[in-house]
Amino acid sequence: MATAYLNTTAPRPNVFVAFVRHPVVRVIGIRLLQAIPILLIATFITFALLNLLPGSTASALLGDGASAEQIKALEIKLHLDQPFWERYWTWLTAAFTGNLGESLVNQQSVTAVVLDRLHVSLSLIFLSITLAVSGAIVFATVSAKKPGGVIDRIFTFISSLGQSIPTFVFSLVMVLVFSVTLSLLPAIGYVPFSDSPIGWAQSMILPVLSMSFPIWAIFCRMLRADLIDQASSEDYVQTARAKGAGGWAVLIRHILRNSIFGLITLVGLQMGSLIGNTAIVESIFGLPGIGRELLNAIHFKDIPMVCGIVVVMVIITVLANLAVDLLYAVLDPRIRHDSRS
Amino acid sequence: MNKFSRIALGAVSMLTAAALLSACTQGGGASSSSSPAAQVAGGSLTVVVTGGNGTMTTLDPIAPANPNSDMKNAIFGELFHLGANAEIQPSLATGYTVSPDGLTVTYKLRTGVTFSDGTPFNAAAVKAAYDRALNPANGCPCLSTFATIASTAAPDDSTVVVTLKKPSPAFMVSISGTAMNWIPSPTAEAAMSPADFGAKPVGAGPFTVTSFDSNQKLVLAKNPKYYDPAYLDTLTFQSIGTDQSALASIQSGQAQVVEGITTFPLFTQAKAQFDVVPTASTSVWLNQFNTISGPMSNPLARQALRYATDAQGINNAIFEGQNTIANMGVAQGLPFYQATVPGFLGYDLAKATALVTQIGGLSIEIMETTSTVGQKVAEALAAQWTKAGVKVTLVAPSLADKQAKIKAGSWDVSTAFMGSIDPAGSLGYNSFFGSGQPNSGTKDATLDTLIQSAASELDQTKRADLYKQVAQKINDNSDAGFLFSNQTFNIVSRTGVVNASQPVRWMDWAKVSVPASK
Repeated sequence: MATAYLNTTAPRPNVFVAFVRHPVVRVIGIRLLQAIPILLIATFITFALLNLLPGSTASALLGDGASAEQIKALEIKLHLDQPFWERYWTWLTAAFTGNLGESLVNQQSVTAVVLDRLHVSLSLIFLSITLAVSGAIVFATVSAKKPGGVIDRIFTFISSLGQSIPTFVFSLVMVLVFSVTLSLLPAIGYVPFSDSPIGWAQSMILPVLSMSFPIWAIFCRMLRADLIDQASSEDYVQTARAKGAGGWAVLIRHILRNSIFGLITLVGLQMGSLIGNTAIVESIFGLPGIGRELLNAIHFKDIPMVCGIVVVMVIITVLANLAVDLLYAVLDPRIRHDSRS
Repeated sequence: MNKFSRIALGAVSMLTAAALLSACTQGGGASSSSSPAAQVAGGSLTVVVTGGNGTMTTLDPIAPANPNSDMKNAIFGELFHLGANAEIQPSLATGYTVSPDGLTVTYKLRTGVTFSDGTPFNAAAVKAAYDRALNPANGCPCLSTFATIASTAAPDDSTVVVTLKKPSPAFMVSISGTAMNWIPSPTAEAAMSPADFGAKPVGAGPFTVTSFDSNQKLVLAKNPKYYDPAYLDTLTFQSIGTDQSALASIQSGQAQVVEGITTFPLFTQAKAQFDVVPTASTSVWLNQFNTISGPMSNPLARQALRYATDAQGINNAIFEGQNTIANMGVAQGLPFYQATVPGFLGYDLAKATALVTQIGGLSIEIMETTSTVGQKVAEALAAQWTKAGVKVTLVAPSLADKQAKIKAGSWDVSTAFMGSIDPAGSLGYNSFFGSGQPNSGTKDATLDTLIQSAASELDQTKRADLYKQVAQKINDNSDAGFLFSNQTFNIVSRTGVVNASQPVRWMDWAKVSVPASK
């Protein structure tokens, strides 16, 4: 042993290589590398589609009274007279350095605008997912305890409503009930957390409820169905029961633990639609997030702003799905072991 | 669906309906207007803006797509205020004179006024603002209207001389609501980047910018240096994406005024609780025809469509009957407006059908506007014209594509709205009926002469007569079918705000207050 310690020529463990070869790091690395072509394709398609849309940014900005000369002059000022490829390349090369360009409408830095608004949308998404997942676990488990019972029927009915009512309709009903009729919560507006934590919470309750209700309904129905299916067909459930485990214990400790994987997959799949819903909910409640900014930018064909927000949305989606993958590994030892081998 | 689900569905539906009904009828017994209240200084007011009014990308007065005039009036003040009936009232300028030849306009400015940053508000500042706005490189939308300005001069601190290339009787009313009426501090403009200036400009108006979040929220504070200090301490404009949530904001008491709602059925709902105040209209809806080529070059085809149009029916169905039927391209309440103009054709389906039969059938394409309301109007027209035997196709091109189609002559009917505060303005008669103009489907030398004569006539009585002749000529030729005014409304709280329920062109927020208890 002592010789080994003194032998300076013996190979020393390379910390960097070990780190890179770690399965978790490899998963993260591969996913991040995969995000690069996704980002390129997404921004290119966005750029191209906005260019293909009829009308121009200049005419949208100048309004109905603008003459052709005025439109042309503004297009030159905004560099919209340059070829599509040139403009995309200029934007792309700047974007790789973290500069997402300037808004065509008000010359503000896109990076600054996005960073300024991102926390609002992220809060909305995170809180909605958290509420939907936790709510689904509770409701689906209670429902699955006695399929066809009164509670199960009530929850099933409510989740059917959640799946069938459009988000904007549900949002407006929430406003009418909780803001207009009961005067409990604000109908519109956003209070930064730093200004007032209570005000922030009040301004977020209705938007979060509106965002989470439809996805809660989907999670709830899928999880309930999976819980009931496993309870009636899986051998390990029979074994657990034979060993004397109680109904709730079997449901929560065994069945739910298995079914949670399906729920996690569903969360990953719902991220896209959830991010899309931010535009609707932020518009209805007047929240200063990136979803509403995206709608405004599309209205004026503000290409740098649209592309900047699309980049951020793609990154959020990729990271969310990466988190889902990592969660699999955390929850299921078999996945960890398979990765190592 | 089983029995239990049906019962549950019924119960939830009833609860939801009850909540909605309660919300819709809350305060339904309130009086139709507030009693006059004494105005006191202090307090805060929130104005919710929606639709086009909610677009506030930058506060720079010369920038395209900048916010509505209310906001800019509050920040920059106005050289001249335009009343509901287009009367020119002094504000930061105390008066003006026009030379007998109509080529020189001289403003006299209020003395002793400063911008909120302390810079003197004087003729040099006005000249700098005009020069900036008229520089083509800056892309001000005002350029098309004010291309007639030859030069500006500031002979002394309180005198501004504007020299025109040709007489322009429309000039003074046209500056209202444009960068020619909003003067920013030249010191601030020079010191700040365009983005910073667009976010926090400095003016000499009744309020200063506290914070601005583009397309979200503008918070203004009282400017103590304003020559006629405002009542309010704080004025907030909150932009909202939907009309329904805008109405909910005032119903819940979060806002006291709502601007920009275009979902007309909501006004019926709002009237039970709030004052629904018309803002002075500047434009009218019309069906414009391509009289130069295609099927609409036949005058009988144009007459057929005019007879087949039930404007009042559309007004009732889409606008809750709020708009006024128009016989000409000038909105009610503006100078040169005439309620009736000879040559106007009313709805007569039998005559329309007979004309369509006489010309052997008619197949046309309507270019609608890209707005929701515009699409509804075009759809209603298509339904009415189909009843007369016309084959109708609807298309919704962008403004640029629409102008390209007009230029190429590849269009039949355009449903749009036209009009400026003065008929000689940028969206006035010349733009829509002048030969070769971007929105025109008419090539008529006689009409061109009439339009140009009216635009340059200095005598107001003669101008009024000329504009009546213009409208009659358009009606006689069936160059277009005028429909109704393009009216907008503000929804105003009866108890939360004082002096905001009078019909206005643009709200003067310096004169608005909140009750003492607020």
